[in-house]
Amino acid sequence: MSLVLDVHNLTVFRNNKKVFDNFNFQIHSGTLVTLTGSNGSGKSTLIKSILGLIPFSGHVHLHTNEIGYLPQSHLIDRSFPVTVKEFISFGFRNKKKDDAIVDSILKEIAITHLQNQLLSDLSQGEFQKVLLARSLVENPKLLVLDEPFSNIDEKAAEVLKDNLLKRKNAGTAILLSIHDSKFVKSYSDQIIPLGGDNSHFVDHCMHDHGGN
Amino acid sequence: MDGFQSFFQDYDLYLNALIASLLISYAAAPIGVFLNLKRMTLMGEAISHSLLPGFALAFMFYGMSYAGLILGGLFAGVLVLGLMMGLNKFVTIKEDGVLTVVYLTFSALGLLIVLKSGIKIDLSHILIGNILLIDNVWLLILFVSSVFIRLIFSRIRKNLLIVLMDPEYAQFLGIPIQQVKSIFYFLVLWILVLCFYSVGTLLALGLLLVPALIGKVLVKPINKQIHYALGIGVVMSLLGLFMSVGFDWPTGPTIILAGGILFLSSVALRPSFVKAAIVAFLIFVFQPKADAAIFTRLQPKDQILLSSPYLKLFVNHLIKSEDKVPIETLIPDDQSIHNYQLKPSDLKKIKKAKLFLYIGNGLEEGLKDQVAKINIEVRFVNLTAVGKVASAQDPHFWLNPEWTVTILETIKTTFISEYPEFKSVLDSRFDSAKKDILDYTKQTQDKFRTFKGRSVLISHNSLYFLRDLLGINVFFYNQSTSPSDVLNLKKFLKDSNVPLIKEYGSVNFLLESLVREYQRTYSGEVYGEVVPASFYDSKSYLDLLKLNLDVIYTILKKES
Repeated sequence: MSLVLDVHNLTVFRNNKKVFDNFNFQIHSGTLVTLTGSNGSGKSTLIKSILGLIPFSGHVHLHTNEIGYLPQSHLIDRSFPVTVKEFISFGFRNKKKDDAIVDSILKEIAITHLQNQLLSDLSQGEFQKVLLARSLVENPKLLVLDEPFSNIDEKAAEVLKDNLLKRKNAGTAILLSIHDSKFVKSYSDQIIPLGGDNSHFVDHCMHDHGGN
Repeated sequence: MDGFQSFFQDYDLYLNALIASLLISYAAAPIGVFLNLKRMTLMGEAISHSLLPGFALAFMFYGMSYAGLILGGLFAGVLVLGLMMGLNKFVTIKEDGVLTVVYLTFSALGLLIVLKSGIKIDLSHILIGNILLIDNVWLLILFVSSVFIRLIFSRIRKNLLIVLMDPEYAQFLGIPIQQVKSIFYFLVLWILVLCFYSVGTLLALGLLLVPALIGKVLVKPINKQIHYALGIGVVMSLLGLFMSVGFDWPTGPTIILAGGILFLSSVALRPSFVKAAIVAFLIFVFQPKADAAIFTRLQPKDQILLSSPYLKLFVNHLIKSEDKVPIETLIPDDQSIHNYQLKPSDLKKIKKAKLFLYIGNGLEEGLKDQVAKINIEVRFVNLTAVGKVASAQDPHFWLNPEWTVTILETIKTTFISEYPEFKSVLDSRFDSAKKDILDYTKQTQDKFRTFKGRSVLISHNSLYFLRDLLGINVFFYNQSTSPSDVLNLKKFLKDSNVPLIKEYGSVNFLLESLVREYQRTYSGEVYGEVVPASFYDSKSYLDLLKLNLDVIYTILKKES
C-alpha cells in the first residue's frame, strides 16, 4: 500500500473566506477515502485544490500523474450534440486517444449500447456512468470523484459502487465526495466530515474495511 | 423575367460573387456552428458592430484599400476583445454584460467618426457592402483566409469543444482555456472582417450564423451541422444572388433575406423536403442551358455613363435627344446620390460604358471606385476637379451658375474628344448656354436689389450660392442635429418675418416637428440637388435656376 496523495498544511481561501486552515490527510493505493458534508462545506473546494484547479497554500504531493477526475455533473453543458463515445474520449490527458480503450471501458461499465447516443438523451444515472467511464480511460492510479452519486436512482448507484470497488480492489486509490456518507460508509477506509467547526479537520481514521 | 435570364446570360458578372460565397461559407460553417452551440451569438453581434470605427478610420485614411480595411477591422476587433477580457477580471457582472457595453461604445465611436467626417465616408459601403464588386484580389484574400481559418480551427476544435461544454474538465486536462477562447474569438473576428465586404457590417453576422442555425434545425451531430452549414451557406448566397439579379435588388440584403426564407422553410417543412428543394434548386441553376444564350457576350463599350441624373440637366444644354448620343445614368432618377448601392443591372451599364462623368467633390468617390473595379477601360471625367477651393466653403458649389459654366465647358471638351465631328455644334451650343446663364444671373441680381436686407430660411443647403448671388440673407438648415445648429434653426423659425422655403426632397424629422411646433408653413418650394424625375428629359440647369429664383422673388415680393 503505497502513498498516492499527501495533503499537508493546506489552506484555501474562497471569496475572501478561509475554507481550509492547515488541513492534512493522505490517501494510499487500494483505499477509498470519502469526503462528506453539506452543501458549501468545502468538498468540491478541497477536490479542486488537490487537482490544482484553484489556488491554495500548503503542500499537495501527488505521487502519481495518472489521475481520473469526475466533476460535478451540473457543470457540464449537455446541450452540446456530442455522443457518449466522443465524450468519453475527452478523458485522454496523457495518452493518445485510443478507440479500443474506450470500447473496453464502455463494456466494463456496461454502457456499450449508449455509445452513439447524444448526452442530452441520457438519464442522469446513465450520464453519471458515462462520467465515470471518462474518468477511467487512462486507467488512473488515483480516482477523484465529485458527487458521483447525486441525483441518480439506487440501481444506477449500485452499478457505480460495484465498479468503484472493483477498481479499489485492483489497487486504485479513490477520493470521493458525497452529501450523505451512509451509502458508502461500509466501503470507505476513511471518512472525512467537512464543514462547520471541522473545517480544520485533522487526519481521522474512522473505519478500516477491506484496505489490506 | 428579364433579370432572371440575365443571371444565366451574364453569369461572368456574378461568378466572383459565387466563388466568394463558397469560400466564405467554407470558412464560416464550423465557426458559426460553434457560436451557436454555446449560444454565443451576442459575441458575434458585438464583434461585428465593433468593427465600424476600425473600418471607418481605415476608409477615411486609405479609401477602399484592402490592407487598410482588413487591418482596421482586425485592430478594432482585437481592441474590443482585449477590453472585454481585461474588464471581465475587474467587474462582477457577466461576460456578455461587459461585452454589450464595450461594443455599444465602439458602435457609437464608429458612428461619430462617420458622421463627423461628413461625406468623406460613404456609410453604406461599410454598412451594406457589395458582393458584386468582389475582384480577383479579394477572392485570393478570401481563399487564403478561409484555408487558414479552417486549418487553425481544426487545431483547436477538440479543445474548444471541451472548453465550451465542460470548462472545469478542460482545466483539469491542462487545456489553456483563455488561449483557446482567444483564438476562437479571433477566428470569429477574422470571418466577420471577410464577410463585411460582401454584405457589410450590419449583415455580416447573417452569413456566419444563419446557415449554421438552419443546420442546427435540420441535424444534430456537430460534424453534420458543419457540413449542412456549408451547403446552406452556398445555397443561401446563390438564391440571394439569383433573387437579387432577377428583381434587381441590392445583393447583400437579398442574400440575408434568402437565408431568412430558407430558415423559415426549414422550420416549417420536413427536413427531407428542404433537402430535396435545395437539390432541385441547385440542378435548376446549374443545368447546362442548351441555347447559346449563356455565352452571349456584352455589347461593345460605347455608352456615356453619367453618375447622377442631375447631370442630365447640364448635359441637356449641349446634347439634344435627336443627336442620338448613347447616354445612360447610373443612379435612378428617383434616388439620392448619397449612399447609392449598385444593383445587379448597374453592372451591365458599367460594363458597356466608355466614359464615366461624375460630379466628384467627394459626392460619388465610392461609386467611382466601384465603377473602376468593374470596368477597367472606362475613362473618368471629374466635373468639379477644378473647384477644390470653392468646395471647402460650399459642398454644393457646383450648383452655382458661375461654376456651372465651367462644368459645361468640361462636358463640352469631353464630348468633342469623343465626337470630333460635332465640334462646331457643341461649341455654339455651349457659347449660347454660357451667355444665357450669365445674362440671366446678371438680370436677377439687379432684380433682387430691392430686397436688400431681407432674410429667407431654406430647409436644406444645396442652394448655398444664393447667399452671394442674391445679396439677401439666406439661411439654410444643413440637416445637422448638433446642438448649435438646432438652436439656430429654432431662432429663425420663431421669427415669422423670415419666410420658410422648402427644398424639394429634403425631409427631415427634426425640422418637420419644429415647423409644427412653431406653427409655420412653407411659403414655397425650390429645387436643390434633387428634382422630380420628370424634369430630367425636358429641363436644363438654367430652367431650374429660373424656377427657383422666380419662387423666391414671388415670396419676397408678396411679403413686402
